[in-house]
Amino acid sequence: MPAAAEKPQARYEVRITIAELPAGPTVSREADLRQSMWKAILTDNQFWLPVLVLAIGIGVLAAVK
Amino acid sequence: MATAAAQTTSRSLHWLGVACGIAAGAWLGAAEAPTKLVTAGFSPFIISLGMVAGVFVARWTVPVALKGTGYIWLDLVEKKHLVVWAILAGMLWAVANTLTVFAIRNVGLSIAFPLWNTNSLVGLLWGWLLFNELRSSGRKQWLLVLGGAAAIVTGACVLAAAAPHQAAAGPRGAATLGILAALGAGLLWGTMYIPYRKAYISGMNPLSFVTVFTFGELATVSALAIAFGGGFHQVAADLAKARPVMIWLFLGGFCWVLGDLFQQYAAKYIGIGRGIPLSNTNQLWGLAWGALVFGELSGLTAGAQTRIIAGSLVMIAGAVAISFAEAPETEHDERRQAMLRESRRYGMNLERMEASMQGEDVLAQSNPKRSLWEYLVAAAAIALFVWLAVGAQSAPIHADPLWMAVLIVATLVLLFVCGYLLWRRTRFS
Repeated sequence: MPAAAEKPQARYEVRITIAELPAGPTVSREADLRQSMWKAILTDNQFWLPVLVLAIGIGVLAAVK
Repeated sequence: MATAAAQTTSRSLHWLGVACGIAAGAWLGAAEAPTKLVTAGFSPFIISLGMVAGVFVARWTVPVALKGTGYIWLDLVEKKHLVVWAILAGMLWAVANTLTVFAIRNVGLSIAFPLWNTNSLVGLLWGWLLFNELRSSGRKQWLLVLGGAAAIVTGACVLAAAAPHQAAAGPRGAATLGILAALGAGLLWGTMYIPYRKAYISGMNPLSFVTVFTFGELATVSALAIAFGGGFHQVAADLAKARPVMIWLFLGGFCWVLGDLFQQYAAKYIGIGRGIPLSNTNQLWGLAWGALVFGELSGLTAGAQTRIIAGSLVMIAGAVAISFAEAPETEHDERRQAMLRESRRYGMNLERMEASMQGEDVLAQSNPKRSLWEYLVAAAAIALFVWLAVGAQSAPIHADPLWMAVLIVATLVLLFVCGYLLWRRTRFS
């Protein structure tokens, strides 16, 4: 009970259960972090959507010029 | 008690975002005014390149004064992955802007403008689909945001149809491609807001995002100018020829940077679904500059003038509707789910992200230092503006000094009021 009471209060309430919280970075070396970042970007569907739209835009530009 | 405090915070940030959206409209509209002083004789690519170069240089003046480069660097190092997104956003802007040149050439402004102005509706769709905007909000919010955005697009269409413009000058049979180009510009600009929102729910400072954005923008516009403007030597020669009018383009770029910054803060604090339609009221300000300062509407019929007033009122009604569409707490919970996704994928601290979204300057705790060289860069940027001004050619165009003063004062009031509100509430975070 005292240990729980001493736990610092989060400044902002984020209504997500503990099980859902991210574990945080699991890599420590800079090279691993870089690889991890690129992997995260390239496997992010939200990244490919604007890339696809950009490609369409360039295609339209090539057709209309 | 805590819920009441959260509601107060949410409300103050909502109205801050609305104020930023309105200020963005004013400054993005004002950005059109200096470019009107550049008379014919220059290719659209050179005008676009000049203005984007102005944006790039202006980025190192006022924004540097606000936070300093050390702060921006810390922000970028903490969220490295967003550098890629910001460059992507700059590229999307550049290609969309170039498409509008061809759209106007092929089908004329009155057809092209309404088509690419749908970008706010595209942004609204992505905001809902990818970032949970408007989810779990009430019917009233849906009605206000969708109705408001539709009213702004409708008002813009009425204005574009009524205002004087050049006729289409494209080759025969090019209309379909022109329409495709205008729709493409709308799609690209609407999609550009995905990186915006992604950056802000990740807790990035808009000043950091805009810094990287301008690199992507300048590089892509330069590449397009070289590709379509006759090669490097031709572009360089055209730029040298445009030197006497370059200051007007740079001033346009300066206004654009301020407008874009306000737009970014609006996207951060009220989301893209609400912030982008509000900043799209820039057409109203552009029209005010054209009509009141440059007398562009003097030859219009009474019917056309009535349509312009009606279109403006519809646009204002749309902006008012969106202003009152404050997100309920249930919608903020949905937004936190989108933040959780980013936090998990990119290993970011969720509490810091939420603190940033609540207007707290989390990076200030690191106490980033300002260095001498950033003052030198800012001085060099200002010196470039002065150098261009010294050799400037006065524009052979009539401008009403009284209305010009009125509009300049109005936009400056918005700058200082919204700037003060941002500083007081968020310290420009």
